[in-house]
Amino acid sequence: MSIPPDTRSALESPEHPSVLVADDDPDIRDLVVFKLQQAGYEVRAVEDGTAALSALEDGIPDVVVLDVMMPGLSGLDVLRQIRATEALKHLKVVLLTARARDTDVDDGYNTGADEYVTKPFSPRELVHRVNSLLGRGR
Amino acid sequence: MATPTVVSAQLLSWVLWVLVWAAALLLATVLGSRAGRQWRERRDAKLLGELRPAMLEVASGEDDDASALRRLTAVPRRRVPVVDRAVSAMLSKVRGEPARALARVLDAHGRAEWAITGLSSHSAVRRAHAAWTLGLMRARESAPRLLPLLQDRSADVVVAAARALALLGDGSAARAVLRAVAPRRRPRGLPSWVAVESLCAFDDAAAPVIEEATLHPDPAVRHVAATVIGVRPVPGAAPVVRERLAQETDPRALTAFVGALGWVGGAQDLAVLSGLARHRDESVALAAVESLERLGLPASVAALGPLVEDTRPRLAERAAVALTELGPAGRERLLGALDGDTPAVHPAHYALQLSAMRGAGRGVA
Repeated sequence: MSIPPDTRSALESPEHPSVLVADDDPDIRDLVVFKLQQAGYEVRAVEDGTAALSALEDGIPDVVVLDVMMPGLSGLDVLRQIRATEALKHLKVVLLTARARDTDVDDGYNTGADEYVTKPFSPRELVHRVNSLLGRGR
Repeated sequence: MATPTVVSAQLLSWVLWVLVWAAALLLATVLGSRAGRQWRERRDAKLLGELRPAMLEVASGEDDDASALRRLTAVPRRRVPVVDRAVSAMLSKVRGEPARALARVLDAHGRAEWAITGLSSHSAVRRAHAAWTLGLMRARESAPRLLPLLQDRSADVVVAAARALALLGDGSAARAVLRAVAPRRRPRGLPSWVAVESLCAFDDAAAPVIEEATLHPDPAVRHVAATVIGVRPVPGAAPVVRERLAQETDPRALTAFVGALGWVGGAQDLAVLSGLARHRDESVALAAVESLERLGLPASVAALGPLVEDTRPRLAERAAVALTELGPAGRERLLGALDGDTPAVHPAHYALQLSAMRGAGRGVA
């Protein structure tokens, strides 16, 4: 993955931190976008892992919310690419997934997730997790 | 007087006309029904588009003044099924207060009564739908109504009832779910993974029933109980797992107990797991290797090391992968194996390569 060096500065906004949401389920995608926008975030949304990587090339958000089971590249595949890319390796990543077994959670954290939220989920809890990753007390 | 030839020609002409008219009528019906369906789909999409903001407000817990809830409940009666389908779809994806608010929409539309009536329908599809709707609505008081469906003649209804009970989370249903795994009057029981998912979603009231089920005469039930203990360990489970594991004769149930011991066990289980890692049943042996890895003890390295030379390739590779997860001592053991001329070379090489790729994935240099 190649990330232009000046991409981050173009998107950084201390007033409105940005979040990239990748989920193939339109209900969940719309819901997460809505809730994060209500919480004061600038949000972009894509529907699969490949589109998520393209979106990261266009600009680096403060946080990425990734579904795990998506067509094509899974959320774990995207996360691996993020952690293997120099410009992205410190990016905060939340996995939002229906895979709730202890071994799935271990896999998520071992792959490099900062937070792991299981579906069905509480939108309020998701915002709390994103806030805490960014040190924001909303 | 008409000749037979003229009569035949007239008859043929008449039959042709009938066929042409029938074909035209059929075409018109097909096109009409397609146009009607597309019109209904556009109408429904328009309605759902108009209600989308209200739906998101309720589902995100942002509907402080309940105005969005009122918009969803106030749709005309004939449009209620369309809205309810969308609300049900959203309801399965959220939990907490937003889920309760969405359930209130369904309740206001009379879905609870519809579902309760539907539980005794002749249609298996309707019974399954009704059970799932009650689960989605988190109507905990409806759990007793769902229990008989765990013995339904339709396997789909049994699965829907178990999943609905999981959404309700009522641990008092645990015994009925376990009974559905090994039914007396049906050839096939509730699939074990559905039973495990349901039991894992239940509250603490399920714990004693699950422990009791580890002694059930049917190995399928023991397998489910042991798997649940592994996935969702309860305090004090370790002695139970050790005792049952020592008595277990069924390979599938034994595999589950061995897996559970990896989650709830400790240093005292190392010797037992080391022995089971050489079990003649490969599933049991693999589960023991995974449990040795999960215990994460330095002494696990000594137990796993010789298994890298096992003649069963999957077992040898799994043991090697486990060693890479046990820190520098495990990796040194594999690096040492690379220098020799033993069957351990290939599994060691495979595991070290896999570990390097995973390390790159985690950003580890």
